[in-house]
Amino acid sequence: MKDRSFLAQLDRLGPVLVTLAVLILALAYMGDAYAASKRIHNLIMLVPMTAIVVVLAAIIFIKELGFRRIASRDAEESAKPPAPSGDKAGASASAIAAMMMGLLAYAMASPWIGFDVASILFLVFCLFIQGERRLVVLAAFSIPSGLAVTWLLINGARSPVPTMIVPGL
Amino acid sequence: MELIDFGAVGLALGILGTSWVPWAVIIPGLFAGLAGGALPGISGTMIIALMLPFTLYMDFFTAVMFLTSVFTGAGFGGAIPAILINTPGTTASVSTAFDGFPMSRQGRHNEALGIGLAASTIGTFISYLVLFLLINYASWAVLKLGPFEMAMVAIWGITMIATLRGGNFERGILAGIFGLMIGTIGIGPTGQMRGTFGFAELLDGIPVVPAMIGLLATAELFNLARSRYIVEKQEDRVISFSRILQGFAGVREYWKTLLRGSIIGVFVGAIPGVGASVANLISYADARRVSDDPDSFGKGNPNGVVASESANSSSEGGAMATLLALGLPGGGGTAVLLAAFAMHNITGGPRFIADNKDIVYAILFGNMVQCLLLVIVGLLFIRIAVIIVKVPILYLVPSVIVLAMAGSYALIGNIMGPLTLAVFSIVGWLFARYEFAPPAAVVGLLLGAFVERQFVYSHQISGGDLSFIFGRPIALVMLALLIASIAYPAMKNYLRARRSLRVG
Repeated sequence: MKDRSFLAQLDRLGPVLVTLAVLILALAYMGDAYAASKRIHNLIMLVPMTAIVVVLAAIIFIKELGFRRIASRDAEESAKPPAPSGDKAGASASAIAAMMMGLLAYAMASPWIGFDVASILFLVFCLFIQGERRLVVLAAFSIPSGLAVTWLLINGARSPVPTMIVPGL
Repeated sequence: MELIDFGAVGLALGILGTSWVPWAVIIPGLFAGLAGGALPGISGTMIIALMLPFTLYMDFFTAVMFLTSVFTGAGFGGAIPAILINTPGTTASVSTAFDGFPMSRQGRHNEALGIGLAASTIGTFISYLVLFLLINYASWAVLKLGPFEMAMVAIWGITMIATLRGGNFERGILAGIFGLMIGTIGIGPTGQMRGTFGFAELLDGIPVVPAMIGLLATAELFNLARSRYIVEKQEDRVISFSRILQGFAGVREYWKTLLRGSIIGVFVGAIPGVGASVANLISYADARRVSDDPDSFGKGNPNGVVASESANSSSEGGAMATLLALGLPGGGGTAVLLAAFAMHNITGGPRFIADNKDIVYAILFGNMVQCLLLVIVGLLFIRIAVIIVKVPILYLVPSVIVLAMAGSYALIGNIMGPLTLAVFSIVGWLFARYEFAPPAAVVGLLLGAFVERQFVYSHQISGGDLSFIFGRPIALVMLALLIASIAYPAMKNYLRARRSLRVG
């Protein structure tokens, strides 16, 4: 039976949405460049590239949103067995989505809580979300790993990274 | 012009036999390069740059031998994480992962690493042999390529990459163009800020290495989290030195791919700014194109590993040719070598070759010896690195991500590194899920500013007159290749669609 949930419909529209995002970005960039300078050397590559993006986006929209395409895809998908929600042994699709959001939060939180603490929290979060529930394991793996990587970053690469526990440069 | 200057060859052998010091730095250099290339986020260029201060108290020849050892080691080092965890250690190993990782998933990681090492060493050796034979002619040939030709080569490379994995054609090209465009963000050719949208951190452009790791590596790491181990079957998780050796010896079965890849690598590597990042992808596309079974590529075909590794390693010789002949770096690694030249008050270029042919030949012979030593050092290094298949993915994925975040922080020096990595991980995951060819976006990003500069130079040379292209035969051939590489898949798709409609 065909999955009609919001996420499944969003997934079916994925190519269109990604194309739309690329098109908006290209047009915004082109507009910004045009506003900065109208000289030919400033636009010599951006104008043809934006034009190609517009043409390709139009082709993708027509192909993806065309009636024949949708009809044939629906037929294909109803014939396919339902996609598994995740490998039983590993993380599920929602866990992977949560890990991606966790990565974004990790990067954004580093200047505020320090790279060391952010790394430890990210490691704990990833392990937890993948099914590890033993507190001893969570702590024994995440704390030394997070601190060691931060120490190496500071003393090996001489990087002035913000920290809370490991002494900085 | 003579092919080989035998007088200079004799003097070169004299230089090599004078002192043991240049030989002593090779093995530490190879280890440093292998480690740097193998750690995702610590690129080959970065490790060569980190090693540069160590050469301050070395004489010129020893310094070059040390840095080229690091370069050679990093050339193969990048293949190790590409094969084992689908995370290319460097941009030069992007297509190694295409078949190397599926081989690992099938429990053939020992074989893949052995094949990769053999292709890498033989490819590097061939490139230095070709360089030895052609160095006198190299400077003449490279000078024939003008900016328009260079732009065409880069765009052609991206087009090939966009279509090479057999995914969606339009989306692949769109990803490549997207990469090219965002590769030009920052200060434009006229000195104005573009595409920064008020973020001063983007003035120098999007940080390329974190973006590359995000697009290619982290996105795939998330998908890897669905499994428990890289190699699913416990019986396949064996670390077998004999199988690595078998893989190494088995490379002879793929000699045609090896030879083609090595030759492609030498010539693509010689084009300034293009280098190993594009050479491995063009060679992979070529191997797939000529194969009797192109559908097996991307599913663990050893030819894919051979094509990629032979080309990225042999491009080192090509890049060295450009560095020595023109004083132009072919990529990041040779740019650091150029800095080492400057530290010792030496300027590369046609004059350097003419005046110091003995040193040039000594460098080439030294590099050939490095290739042979890479076999021993590389086998030892693989033995340590391959333990990774025994680590549960539960621990491996977050650890690699944290290491990559640290690497991106070290590389950029501020929060922009990790932030770029995080954002591009999501972009990469979306691109991969909907067949938007993330490798094309990466190469576009790497070459965006370069291609734009070539367009500007071409406009300056021609004065805006498009007919100047007709006076440049090499440019015309490249333009024809570009049109063919776009038209062929489009035509194939159209004919396939018509046929299926008729059948339906």
